[in-house]
Amino acid sequence: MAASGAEAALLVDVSDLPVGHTRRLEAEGRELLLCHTPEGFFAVADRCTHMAFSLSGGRLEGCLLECPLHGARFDVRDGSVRARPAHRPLATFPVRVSGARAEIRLDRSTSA
Amino acid sequence: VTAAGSQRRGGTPLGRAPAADLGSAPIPKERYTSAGFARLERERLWPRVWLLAGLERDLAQPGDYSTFEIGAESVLLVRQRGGDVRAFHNVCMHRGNRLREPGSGRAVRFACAYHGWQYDLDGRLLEALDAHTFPQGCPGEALSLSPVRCERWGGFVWVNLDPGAVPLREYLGVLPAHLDPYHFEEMQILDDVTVEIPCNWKTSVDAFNEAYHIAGTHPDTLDVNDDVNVPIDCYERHTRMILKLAVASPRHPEHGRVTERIREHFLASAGVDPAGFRGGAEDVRPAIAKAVREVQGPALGADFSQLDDSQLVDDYHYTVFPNVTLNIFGRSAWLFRHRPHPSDPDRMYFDFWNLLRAPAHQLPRPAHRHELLRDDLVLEPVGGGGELLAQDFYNLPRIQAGMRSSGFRGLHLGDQELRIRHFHRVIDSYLAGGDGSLGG
Repeated sequence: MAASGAEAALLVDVSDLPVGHTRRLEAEGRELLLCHTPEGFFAVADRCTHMAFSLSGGRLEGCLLECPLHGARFDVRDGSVRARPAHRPLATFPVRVSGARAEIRLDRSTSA
Repeated sequence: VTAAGSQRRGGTPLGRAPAADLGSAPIPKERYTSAGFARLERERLWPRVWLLAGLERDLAQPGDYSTFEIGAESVLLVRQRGGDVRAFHNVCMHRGNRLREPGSGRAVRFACAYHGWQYDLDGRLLEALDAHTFPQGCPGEALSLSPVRCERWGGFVWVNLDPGAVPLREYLGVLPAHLDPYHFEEMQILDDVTVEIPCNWKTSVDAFNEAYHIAGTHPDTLDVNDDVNVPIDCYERHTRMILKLAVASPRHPEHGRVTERIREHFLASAGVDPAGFRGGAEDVRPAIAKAVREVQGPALGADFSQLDDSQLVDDYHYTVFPNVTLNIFGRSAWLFRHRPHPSDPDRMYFDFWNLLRAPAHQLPRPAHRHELLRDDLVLEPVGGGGELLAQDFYNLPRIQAGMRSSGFRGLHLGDQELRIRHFHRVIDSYLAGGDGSLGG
């Protein structure tokens, strides 16, 4: 993993991240969760918008990520809430994959 | 009847149950339509029987949970850090809020969305906000999640709301000896659908509890099954029938011949070249069994040596009291679970699990689907057969509506419907305060 300050991007080796799994990342003071879904890689903020609990212990099913505390669900493609009790969407970060490397743009997140 | 030869090593016992004498009285239709009868079931039946609540495979890691809804109850099944599976009422002990939505997932702890009380995976209350403000004592162990009896067999998780219930294996009676050779623990789920149907849960159980309806409901299948010679066994609480497949019914004009669909569907799907098959009708089933055992078994990673030819070809059909129907086809199975509506005797939830024994393969677990019954609903399960279920579904609301007719007197059952009579006897035992054993 390497953070490039100029472009505020994070480079991650994803060769050992199978579909259905997530990886927690920290860079530039942010906590992210990189999610490998059947539709590709997506990165979201690793804090549930309901009680700020880390989502990293939750299950990723398809593109839905579940908070392991109350069971709120988010669509990691756009951060939208798919099951309560959360109301506000998760911040998302653009991901570009090239081979075994994923580039996560920290400077272009959607605002939560 | 089907049991030519001797029992295979580790296989299902071949003996038949003694013939059950259950009389010939009509079954009152009110058992299906009356709110009072449904209330009796809620009070005396559902809280006292072992219920199939989930798949152990869905609870692979510590924290994995799934819920089971039965009537007004919701039960939380949770894989523990030590590997055990435990069950709790899915309700916060503070103000009664549901802890988790119906479904499955992974938790690190269970937090209530109302006041934030938090419970560990083992049900212990970990945190209550401002605990010192409860003058009756700080919420602690005494307010841990309410446990539910939970045991496992066959890759399934079972619960019983009665803390004093007999152990699961005792309740299941002969079933583990009969069904262990199929190795359900190696089966994976290919389809997972709930269909909400406007009928009583027993109307749905009955619809699959006999082969007498095949000629009327599924006449287009008589070229591939024998709906006439169907052995029935009534065990203590549970029952079985064996429906021979890949043979044309004695009612069918091509009885005794290898019909086109036997050739194209049964032989071909087992991997036997239908064009090259030169045998007669009696050679079909051994050929299928041989191919399943010798070719499909290794491909699936499954050892079928404990199953005899009939078990690898036919539908071994078990009703696990009160609400599970198993159609077992050797390498695969269709499991139906019939759940009552919390209050309305005219509604129920039909759960359909399509199972395949393929331990060599990691098959993707399908997401659960929920459907409202409509006449054009065809489930299209992996491996086919959706039109069969659609034919049964078509009947169910109409049976329920017809039973409410003032011109209908009650169920007039024949010998081929003996299992329905047995089913009602076992229900009666529970409603009378008994434990469902008929001594049969």
